[in-house]
Amino acid sequence: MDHNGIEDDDAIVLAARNDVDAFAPLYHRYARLIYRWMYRETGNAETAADLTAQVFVQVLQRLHQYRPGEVSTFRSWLFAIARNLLRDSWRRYRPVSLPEELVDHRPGPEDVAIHRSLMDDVRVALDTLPERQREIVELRLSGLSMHEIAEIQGTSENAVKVAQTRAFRTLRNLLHQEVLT
Amino acid sequence: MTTDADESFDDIHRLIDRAHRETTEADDIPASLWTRVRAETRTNIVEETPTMSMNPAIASPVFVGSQPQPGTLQRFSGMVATLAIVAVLAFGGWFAAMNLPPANNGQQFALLQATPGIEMSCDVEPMTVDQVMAIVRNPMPYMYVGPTASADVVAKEAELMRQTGKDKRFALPQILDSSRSVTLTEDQFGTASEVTNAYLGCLLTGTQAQVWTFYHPASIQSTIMAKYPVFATEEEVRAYIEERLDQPATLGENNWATLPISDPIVSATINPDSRLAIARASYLYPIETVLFVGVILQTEVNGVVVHTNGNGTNLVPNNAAQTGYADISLRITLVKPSFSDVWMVVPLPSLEEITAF
Repeated sequence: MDHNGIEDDDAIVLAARNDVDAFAPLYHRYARLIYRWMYRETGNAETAADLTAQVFVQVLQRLHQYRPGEVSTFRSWLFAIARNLLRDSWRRYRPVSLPEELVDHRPGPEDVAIHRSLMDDVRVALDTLPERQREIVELRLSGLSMHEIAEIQGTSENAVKVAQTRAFRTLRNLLHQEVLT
Repeated sequence: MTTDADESFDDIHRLIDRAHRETTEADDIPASLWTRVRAETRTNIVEETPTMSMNPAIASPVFVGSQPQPGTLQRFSGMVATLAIVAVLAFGGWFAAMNLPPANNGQQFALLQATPGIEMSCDVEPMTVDQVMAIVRNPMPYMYVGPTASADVVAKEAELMRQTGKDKRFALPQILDSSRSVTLTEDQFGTASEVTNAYLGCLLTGTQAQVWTFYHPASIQSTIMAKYPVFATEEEVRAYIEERLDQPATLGENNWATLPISDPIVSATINPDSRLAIARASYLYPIETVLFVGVILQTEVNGVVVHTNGNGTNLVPNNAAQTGYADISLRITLVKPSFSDVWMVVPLPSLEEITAF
């Protein structure tokens, strides 16, 4: 996870307001984190790429709206856009079909071992979390601090900590064997 | 010093990182994506406007909205077909769903009435004929924001649907076919209670146009269109809506007019015990929460004659003997998108009826 260099994010943003190509370093700093998040949400590379592209298109179109003094970091603003886009565009209108993981095909243990990837397990486990907890986990995985997450969710750091603890406990239980073996 | 939470996070982080590395497509962001972003970014970058809210309750303006295109009624004939399931549910289900045993004591079915001045009232702004017509034409953009959402909000919803190409249909049976129990927070149940109580007030003392403000948009459309063949003209439908707007809600199809209760109701409320409500969230439609709540009806003469739970079961023991009324099975169904706090009434009370469909 790349935590380095966030202190110069604002300087890059300032430059990118007049020259979009100047934004490239920020794209390369955060695009993979966003793509991974979108992939975990969608399970589909093409959709994840579409959503990632939409996030950065929005960010570039709204760079003039970003005010460093009003949010703690650029990345919290960026991930707030990603999170809102996920809520508005993907989760709301995602295809109406049962996630493959939830369809009971009754495979035998061998089938499970062969066909289920670790990513499948991760996605199923994340899907069990309430939306707010899942967001916290996703934002933590993307490197955001408690303070930044609290800011994005409009809540207190303490509330984030409590929800995070619950989320991790759930994930640990669900992914127990994978984590500890 | 590390905490359990830190350790848990580290474990999970490592595991998820491994999952990405083991699934190539989950890790490899397309190299051309930056080029695509650049191409899709308009050269006229949005100029200074009020800053984006970080408030989670305010979604970012993903797309610039546009008004949904009006059309003739013929245009939504296909939509009526897609929503026929809702119409069937709303109309095929209601009366049977009451599960009423034959009335005893020679009771006559009579229009329910609230005693004037006693607790029951309805002070919501009624829907206009234009609002109802817009929903009849296309209820989809109202699905998540409610039937009385502002034009701006509806326009944004319509544009989102156009952009994503996914105007997801609402079908309660399918929601329930693949759903799990959920526990509502106090706030959520409190909001649902306020809506239910206001709805009950309007159901007994308001007009059709007031009751519709509580309905799920698909129910509004089916309420209107069930009266008409799909080739009805827009003028005919508009005239029908105008005729119904000011009628008492007790004259509507989806009301309690057929309850065998003859003395005036002095109070109709949600059963406030949230433990007796049933809340389900769908896997299939992940955004929907369905809530079944019981009701408490109190009449002037017999006191509480209906006191049901989320199953619609009357909890008043020996009700018929005590009140003179047969046991009445009754409940109210509400749905809520996870993206808003808007609880909407689906005039269909019976789980049995839904699952039997």
